[in-house]
Amino acid sequence: MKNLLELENVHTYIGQYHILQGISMEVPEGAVTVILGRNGAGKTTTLETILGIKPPSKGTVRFKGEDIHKLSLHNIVKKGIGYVPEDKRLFGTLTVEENLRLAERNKQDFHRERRELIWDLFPDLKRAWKRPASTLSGGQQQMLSIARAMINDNSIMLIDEPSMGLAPKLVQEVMSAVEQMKGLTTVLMVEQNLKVAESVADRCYILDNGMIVYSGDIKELVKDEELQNNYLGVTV
Amino acid sequence: MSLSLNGLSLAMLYFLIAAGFSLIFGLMSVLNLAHASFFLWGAYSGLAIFTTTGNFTLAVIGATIVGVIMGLLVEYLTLRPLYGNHLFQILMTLGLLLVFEELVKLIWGTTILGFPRPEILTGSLVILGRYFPVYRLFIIIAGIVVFIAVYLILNRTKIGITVRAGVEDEGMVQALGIDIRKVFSGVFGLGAGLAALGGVIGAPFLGVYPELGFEMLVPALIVVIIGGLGSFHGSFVGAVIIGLSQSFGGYFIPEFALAINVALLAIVLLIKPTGLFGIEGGH
Ligand SMILES: Nc1ncnc2c1ncn2[C@@H]1O[C@H](COP(=O)(O)OP(=O)(O)OP(=O)(O)O)[C@@H](O)[C@H]1O
Ligand SMILES: [Mg+2]
Repeated sequence: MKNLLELENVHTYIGQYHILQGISMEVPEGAVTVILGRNGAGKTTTLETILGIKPPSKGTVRFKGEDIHKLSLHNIVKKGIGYVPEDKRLFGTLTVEENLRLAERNKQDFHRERRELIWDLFPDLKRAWKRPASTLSGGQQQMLSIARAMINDNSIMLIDEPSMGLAPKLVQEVMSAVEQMKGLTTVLMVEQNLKVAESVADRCYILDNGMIVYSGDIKELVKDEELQNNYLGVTV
Repeated sequence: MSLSLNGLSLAMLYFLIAAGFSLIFGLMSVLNLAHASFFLWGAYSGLAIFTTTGNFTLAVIGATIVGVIMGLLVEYLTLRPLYGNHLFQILMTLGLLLVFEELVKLIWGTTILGFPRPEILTGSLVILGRYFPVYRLFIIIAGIVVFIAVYLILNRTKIGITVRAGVEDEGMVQALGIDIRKVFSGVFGLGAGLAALGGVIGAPFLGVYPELGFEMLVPALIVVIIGGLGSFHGSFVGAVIIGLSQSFGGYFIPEFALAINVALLAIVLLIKPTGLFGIEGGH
């Protein structure tokens, strides 16, 4: 399998703090790759570094064979990256429809098709189409945040802890959406819950203190309790 | 009746300044004190065009264009390098306010200049036995037309949606692949154009003099805070409140006109610290 995204010895600072300390990562095309790790391990920072929100001070980020770490955020995103941030970051005063319309960057026909797909996947959003995003429930907001990244013909989706704070039934619904994406695009997802991660992931990385401490098949990790005890929090 | 007509025409002028002021603050967190200079220069450049061509329509269009160009230049040359640095921005825009006023004095002198009303906008209309000065009606209608036009742009077009989204979370707008700097420039240009439009249509009503910008700045600030920083329709409602209070207060107890406005401001902030239509957590 070809790598769609590669990080090579990436270092990122936040202020004076050395957060990512030499991360290398390969994200194969068409698969779901999961990043696991404790709170504060640097998972969100990794996604933000890829996007150029927190540009790396050293190292390279390569997307479709092109170095992108010197580009600015909006130019990186336009290469074909969908982003579902940790705190959703919807526009609360905009309606569901406006939130999606704002995100659209491809041809109109494409978006018409994608809207249908989104309506099928999340009927709630269709029902709330003209309502401000701030009036949606937590679960619906997560759906809209995912839908916003799905509305474009993205080559990769960066999804940050989509199950966080959701009831089990909603987690399932969100994960079935991620499952659906598999056929359409590549996924790089942060997920603290190993069970949830296992249900969709092909490969995984474990981050600890800004360094990669494990990479490989997620099935192996599920069997290895020592590894889990060492590097994953109590959430397992 | 004549007082409320007077107040409403004043309100429209406040609105034309406050709208851009508020959007620029909401979007870029820039408190652009030089915004009143666009009003001032709208008045002077409009007068210059009107005296040379005798064509009022041309003066209105020309002055608005002057405002747009000034706005784009101010944003690009002086503010763009300072985004995020609030103290320097305030000093910079305060400096620009003074420079633009001195330039006016240098070019046109310090005396009050009259701006003759165009022929068709003079006189009064008689409606139901009452007299309505045509020019005031013109200002009110122009203000309402601008309000509706900008309202539709903000709510119906993708550019408008982008601006509203940017007021909430500019970082996320960029994370959707949108170059927020272009949006900043556009809003700055448009806001400056509206202020200049206010200047040229307000000039026949207020007179044209160098302190005009500064005089409009204080009420416009109050309007923006009452309406809610970053809220477009808030700036309209705030302008109507302040315009009317200014006009009535100025008539009955002129010494207290400003005090009344400040009291109104305090009351609104006590009840709703974000202003009438402000949203929480913007910046
Ligand atoms: N603005 C900031 N200033 C200083 N340190 C920060 C800042 N933002 C994040 N950090 C630190 O960077 C480290 C990595 O943060 P990051 O958000 O990437 O962790 P995470 O793995 O996503 O954690 P979580 O599971 O809680 O989301 C943490 O130790 C955090 O304290
Ligand atoms: Mg995180």
